[in-house]
Amino acid sequence: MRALRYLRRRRRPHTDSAVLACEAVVELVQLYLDGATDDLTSEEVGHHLDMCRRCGLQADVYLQIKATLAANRPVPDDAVERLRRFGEQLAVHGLPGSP
Amino acid sequence: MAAAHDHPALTDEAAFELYVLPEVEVLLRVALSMTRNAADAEDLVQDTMLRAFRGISRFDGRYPRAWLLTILRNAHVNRNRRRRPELLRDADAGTSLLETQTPDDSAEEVAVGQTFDHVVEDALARLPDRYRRVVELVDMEGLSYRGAAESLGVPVGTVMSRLHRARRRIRDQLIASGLVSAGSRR
Ligand SMILES: [Zn+2]
Repeated sequence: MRALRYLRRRRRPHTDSAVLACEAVVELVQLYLDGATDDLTSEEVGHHLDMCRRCGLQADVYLQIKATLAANRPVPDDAVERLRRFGEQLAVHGLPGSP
Repeated sequence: MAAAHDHPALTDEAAFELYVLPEVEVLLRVALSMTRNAADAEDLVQDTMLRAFRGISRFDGRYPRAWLLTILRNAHVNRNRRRRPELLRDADAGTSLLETQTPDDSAEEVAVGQTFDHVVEDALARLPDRYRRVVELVDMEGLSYRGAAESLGVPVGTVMSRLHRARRRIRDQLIASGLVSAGSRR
């Protein structure tokens, strides 16, 4: 994708080459949350969101929008069932491997 | 043991049942759209639940969904990192800024609930048809960019730009209604 290559070049100067600038992350964050960025870009965007509170909060708002919009989408029942059981185990017995 | 959440009598285990278990389906939906892979999504939600359990005593009980989605995002970063161990770099610790902050710090800025859903619905209804259609296909029905592009007979790039602009408008609407902070608004 040409847009991605362009954004990659706009890294913040004079810092770690792996640090994307906020303006690049703002352009990439929705792609990232849609699972549409490649591994390296995902790593870089995720790292930025971890370190930058503003971009992190923005990403969280998009996740909440996603959660709201997806509310009626079917999910695999068996996966939900397994996760519920996992959660119930946690609630009853605590963390695996701890007394 | 007693926990910090709103119900002083609640044990961590009870708090986990009350705040986390009802959100499992929501978390799985979001995880599916982030990972585009059923097995990865399930693992990611499991990771999220473990982290939530470890952090539940510090959770104050407000906006559990927002709290859990932040945890999910952090868990996702660490999973990417694990897949690419050569990229560990300085970010080894893996505890992120938001996760270590006091819970009400971020809850203050991101309110969720019926009002949130209502503003999202309202913003969606106000979008021009061609934008709303893309949101419906991708976010509500779960199609990929490519799937939406085929269904609409437009290029994938068009789907992406319409979708991203549409969500940005929804977010702007949330900011305008005071439900979320402006943050890095553009
Ligand atoms: Zn940033």
